[in-house]
Amino acid sequence: MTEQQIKRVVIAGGGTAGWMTAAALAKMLMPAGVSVTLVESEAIGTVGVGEATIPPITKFNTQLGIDEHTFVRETQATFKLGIEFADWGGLGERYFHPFGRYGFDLEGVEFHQYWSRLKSLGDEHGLADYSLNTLAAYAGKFLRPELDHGAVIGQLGYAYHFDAGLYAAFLRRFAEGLGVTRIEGRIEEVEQDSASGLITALSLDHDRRIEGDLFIDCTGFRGLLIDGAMGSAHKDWSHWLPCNRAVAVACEKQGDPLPYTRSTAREAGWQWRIPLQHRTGNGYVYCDEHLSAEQAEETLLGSLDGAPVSSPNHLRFRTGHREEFWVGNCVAIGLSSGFLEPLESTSIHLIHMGIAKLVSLFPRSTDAPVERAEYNRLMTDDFTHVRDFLILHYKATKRDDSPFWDYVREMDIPDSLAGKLELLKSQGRFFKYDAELFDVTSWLAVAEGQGWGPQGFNPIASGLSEANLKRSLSNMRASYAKAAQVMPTHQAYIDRFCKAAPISFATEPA
Amino acid sequence: MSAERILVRGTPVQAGVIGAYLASRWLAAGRALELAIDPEDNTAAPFVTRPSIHRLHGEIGLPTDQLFARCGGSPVLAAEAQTADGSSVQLPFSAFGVPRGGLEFHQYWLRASRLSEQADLTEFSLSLALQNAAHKPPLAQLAQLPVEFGIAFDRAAYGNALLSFAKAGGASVVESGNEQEQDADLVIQCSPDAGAPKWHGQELTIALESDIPGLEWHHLSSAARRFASLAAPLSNCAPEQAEWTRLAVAENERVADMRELLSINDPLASSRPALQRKAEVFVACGRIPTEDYEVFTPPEWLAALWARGVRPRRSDRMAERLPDAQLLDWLDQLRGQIASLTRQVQAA
Ligand SMILES: Cc1cc2nc3c(=O)[nH]c(=O)nc-3n(C[C@H](O)[C@H](O)[C@H](O)COP(=O)(O)OP(=O)(O)OC[C@H]3O[C@@H](n4cnc5c(N)ncnc54)[C@H](O)[C@@H]3O)c2cc1C
Repeated sequence: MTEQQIKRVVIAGGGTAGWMTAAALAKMLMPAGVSVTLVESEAIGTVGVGEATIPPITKFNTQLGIDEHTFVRETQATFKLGIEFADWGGLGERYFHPFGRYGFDLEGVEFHQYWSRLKSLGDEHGLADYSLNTLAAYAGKFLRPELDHGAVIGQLGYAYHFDAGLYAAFLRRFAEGLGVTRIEGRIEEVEQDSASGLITALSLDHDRRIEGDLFIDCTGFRGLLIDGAMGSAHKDWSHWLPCNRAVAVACEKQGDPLPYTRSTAREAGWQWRIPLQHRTGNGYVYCDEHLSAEQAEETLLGSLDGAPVSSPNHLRFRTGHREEFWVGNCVAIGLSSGFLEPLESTSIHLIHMGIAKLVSLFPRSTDAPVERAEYNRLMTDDFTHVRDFLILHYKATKRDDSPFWDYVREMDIPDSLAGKLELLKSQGRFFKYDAELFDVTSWLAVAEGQGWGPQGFNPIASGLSEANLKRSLSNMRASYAKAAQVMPTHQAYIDRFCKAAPISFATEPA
Repeated sequence: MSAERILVRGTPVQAGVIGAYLASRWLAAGRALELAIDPEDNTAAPFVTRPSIHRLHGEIGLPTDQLFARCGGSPVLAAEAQTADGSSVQLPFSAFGVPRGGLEFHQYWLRASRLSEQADLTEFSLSLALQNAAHKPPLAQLAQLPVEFGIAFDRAAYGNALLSFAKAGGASVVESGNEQEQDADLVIQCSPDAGAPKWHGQELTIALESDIPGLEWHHLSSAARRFASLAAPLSNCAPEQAEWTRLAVAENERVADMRELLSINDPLASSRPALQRKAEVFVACGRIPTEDYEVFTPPEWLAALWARGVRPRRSDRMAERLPDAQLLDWLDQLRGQIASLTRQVQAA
């Protein structure tokens, strides 16, 4: 087979990854003459989890031209101001990782340096007192920041919690509206050109055949194309992130939904709680060397807010990523490309990053070695940066109440993380890689929250007199407290702008 | 006696940049800063700064407009560098054309040039048009335009102004040879001959390069800023030293990439992996991949690749979303706008 112009994109799989990719390619590339076809099998279904996100998703929606309130309404979504971590640094401790920044810089010096200095003078106010996201989250408040809301409310960062099934359905309607062709069917074989190894077509049940020029593997953990046909090896990181299983279950909601995710550390992993408009999503991510599936299920079911509305869904996964995300004319996006446990809700973001990079490096022909190499390099960097941040949560702990925590507390960590932690711990120094997702707020929130925060401060922060320092920071606290107070409740905001139609669980399949 | 003492050695402008910054951001009770000046600065060329000068002046409270007037300032919208074949290339600080629908302008230019003959890409740069105009617009007017700019100063005048500022901020200034080296906890050496930047033990060496205008400024200002933002007790700062050196060396690698691009015949055959990747990805699809800790901006890389004859084989698919006639009209309009804006500025 000779080099071929890319005119037909075929997406295998219609989960979150498949439909996000279809929607974006339809929006960006169909007007440039590229056709998009998506094949999915309802019989196989999707992974059915993946309901918490991080702020860049708002950009993805904006780029697609999706109206936020419609999206929230149709996916039973709620707003997410951050993540509460309970029992991570030690049993009985908790902290909040906010999506908006801490405080305001003064005289060009980062806020947290002043905060550290004030702390060294004996002041006990925590970082949370300087975070509108944290104050609003704990008060159950939400307001979408608009330009005329001023600097304090302007700091509010947010993402969403949504129903994964409804999100894929929403994107499907959107993508089909833009001209994406959907084919229902089971992929039985991946046809390859014998000389070049490039994929030529997908053979479906009932003797159907879908030809294409570029194939996107969104078949989930199966990795039907990237693994099965193209043989891209898996790079394993389970020695640093040993959790390899999860059990998920939805339950009835109790009261108004909180505007944040909760992550509670457990004996051999951690449990999530994701509040939606119609129900609450829950799951226990654990390591099967230290806990059985039955024990995990029992712990999960014993700690729900309300009665379960689905039966427990047991999942297995491997932490790591493909050595190559793009091989020949096949690009893996979503779970097929790799997986990092959902502790910081990064998987959907990595889908977004995969799509953005594919669009920006979109090849003209199947012979695109340079674009491919660049894509693989950039995606590897993205996975690596997220990995380091996740490892921090396990390493920075005092917990010694189970073999799982003993292992992660004592394990070696990557050099890239070790160097960063040393600087952060000494005096709160943080230098972000240009393409790194999590910034100083995130690193500080987790490090400080788990007892590994800065022990000193940059002497530049001594520039302000003690009296001025105290006054400035006290003013900041007052502004944040006031802003949180005047914001509407999360539920009131939803009721006013984006309330979803009620869903009866009696009609949902178990 | 002070608990911590830093000695800076360099020419007036070198010690001036470091001294002014540290006097404002590091000096405090219990700390001393001494600037040992080597008055033998035989460099005749102006001291060219990059657009980051505005931020740095702002951070330490230096009045840019007053210094501009007092120190023979002139705006710089593009740095002029020499290439291997003896020609010169202008590296503009701001983008060519304007991006559209999330896609850089040169992608549209590439597509348009396949449809019909187009004026060279450089004709679509407002920065280059203004840089090459007979009269540069005044600072206040430039600040209103969508362009980034640095300032070229008279070296001696700017150096002296910075030294006075440092002095007013508490630094002491002495002529080289009269300094007290023995009780310095750290000696900051501004050295054009040092191979690589390094902070080790009691010496921090800033490796100065000046072959591309603005580089000397960049090395000095980022060394000072980074030192101040890392500054730890000087008696116990091994992680900070390692981090300072890591970041400075990483930046120097990016500079070395640019230097090689300007000097070798075939950038695609470069032995520097990051440069080779830049050239390859650019040829393949017109994108310019960036690395961590870049010094030069994407428009500067674009101009350098362009000047060295590196050309993309194709434009981005997204450039095809614009119908042909609309695309060609748009390019015409843009050129017209750049020309008329340049005329207006000249006439003002
Ligand atoms: C326990 C857990 C919790 C998670 N929580 C979060 C979270 O909070 N936030 C977050 O961002 N991410 C989370 N994720 C990740 C998130 O769920 C996924 O990134 C996201 O759902 C994308 O999945 P996918 O589309 O790649 O795969 P899937 O949802 O598995 O979709 C695969 C698709 O391929 C199709 N398919 C497969 N084989 C065939 C075949 N032979 N023929 C035809 N079609 C086929 C299927 O029908 C399906 O449509 C979580 C993941 C797990 C495991």
